[in-house]
Order: sequence, then structure tokens, then C-alpha cells
Amino acid sequence: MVTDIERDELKQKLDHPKKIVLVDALPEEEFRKLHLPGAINIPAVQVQRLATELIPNKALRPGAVDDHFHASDTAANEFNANGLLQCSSICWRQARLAESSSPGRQGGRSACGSLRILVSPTRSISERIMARLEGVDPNKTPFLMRQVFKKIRKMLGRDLTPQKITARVPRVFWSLNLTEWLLGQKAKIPQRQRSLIMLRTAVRVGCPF
Amino acid sequence: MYGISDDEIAAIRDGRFEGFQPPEVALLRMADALADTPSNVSDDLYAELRRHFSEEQLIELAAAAAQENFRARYNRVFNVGSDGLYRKGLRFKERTAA
Repeated sequence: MVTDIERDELKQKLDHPKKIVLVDALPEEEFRKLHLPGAINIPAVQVQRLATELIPNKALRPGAVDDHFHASDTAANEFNANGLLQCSSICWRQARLAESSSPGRQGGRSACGSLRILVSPTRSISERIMARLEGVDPNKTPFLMRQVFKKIRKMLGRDLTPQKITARVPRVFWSLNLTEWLLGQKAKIPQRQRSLIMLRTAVRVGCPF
Repeated sequence: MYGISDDEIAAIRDGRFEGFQPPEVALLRMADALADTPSNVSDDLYAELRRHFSEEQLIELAAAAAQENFRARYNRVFNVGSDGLYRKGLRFKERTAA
């Protein structure tokens, strides 16, 4: 069972001489943009693979931080289930630690208020857990493909990594996107039901979002 | 997420379906069955699905599940992480069925 910890408790642990390791379960790209000072990045789905390598000293106790799909809970569960280390979870917004931030640029994400960006000393770790393929630059794709990226950017506020990767092979890009578009057209089932199926499937397959 | 609360998302993650309505439980069980290998939907589960959905609706729902399996599994080949589409407290406007 994973226990949540509050911001003040986390700060106390961070300030305590007996060190904890702050594990940020954010996806790599988000982690690069913003994370808590001193955190290392182990996305929830990669705990098993990376934890023993990145936190070799078992005397160190990790706390996991993230609020993507409750990824801190997932990461903490993984830590605990694998007997790696005792772990608690906390979400980003609970974890505003402005007063303990290290020197760095001032953060600008509204959801995280006064958090500061720490220019990460663990960048090399982040780079090791990137997607295996690099996607295309959406702005350099053909006109029609650009319109798809534009529409998704408008809907979701960002370009999606799987689409950028798929765009390297246009035939695959179009087959996936047209299928998805057609399935979404005039569907006779509520969006909630479709979302339930998608969420449970993503959980079962182990695909974070 | 579309009309789904943070608590419901946590329940889906943990496989706790008891708080959902019977048609939704049937769909979640179908999603589980299709994520398994081998992938079998039992006669009992199919009968339960048919109690709640028309054949045409089931065709759509099965396609949605199969498509998500495709997408999720495809992403695992390339070790694609989250694009940060979900955050606790984030709400999307729910689309109604056509």
C-alpha cells in the first residue's frame, strides 16, 4: 500500500541529514522542462529497469513525485512491490517546494505556481530513458500531415511523440490517423465509455499517457 | 479525462470496478479480456455485454478496444513515455454521442 505524503513532510525529509532520493516519475520530456530541485527522473514504467542502477545505495529512501496518471503512485507501488525501497508518493501541486529550490531559472507553469526550474544535474540520466526513436519535426512535414499535427496541437496543446515517430513512415501515419478519425466519427456510444476502455487498456498494456 | 474523475481513474488503474455502473463494468472486463494473451471474451462476458449494448454498439466498442491495444502496444516498441495528457484535476469537456 502506497502512502501519500504532504508537502511539509516531504520538505522535512529533504532537509533531514538522513538523505532521501527524490524520484520524479514524470515523462522524460516533462521532466526536462520542470521538476523538483534535486530530483532524478525514473518514469513510472521504468522503475524496475532503472531503480537499482540509479539508486544503488539501499540506505537511501526515495519519495516519488508526479501527477501524470497517478504515476507517482504507480512508481511508488513498483518500488515497494519489488522490495527496492520504501516509497511514498506526492503529486506536483502538493509538492510546491519553492523555498527549498536550488538556484535556477524561475518556473513558468501555472499549475506549479512558484516552483523553480532546476537545470538538471541528472540530464544524462534523462537522455538514457528517451524514446528509442526520434520523431520528425512537425513543421517540416508535408502540408496535409502538418494539418493533422495542427489539429491535435489545438486539441491537446502539444505534439504527440507517437505521431512524430509514426510520421517518419507516412503510410503508417495515415493508416493510424485515418482509422482513429473514422472510429471517432458519429460514434453511437458515449465518449465516457470509449475513454473507460482506452484507460483500462492503456493500464493493462503498460502504456503511460 | 472525458467525464471520468481522478478517483475513477485511480480505480481503473487498480482494477477496482465495483464503483462503476454494470454496463461500464462489462466494458472494463472486456478491455481486460482483450489486453490478455491469448485474448478470449467468454460466452458469459459476451452475454453480459449484450444485455447492455446493441450489436452495432459492440462493434464500435470492440473496435475502440482493439485500436487502443494497437496504439498502446505500438508505443512500447519505441519505449514512448507519457506525453503528459493527463494530470490530476484536469477536465476535458465531455463529448456526447452522435
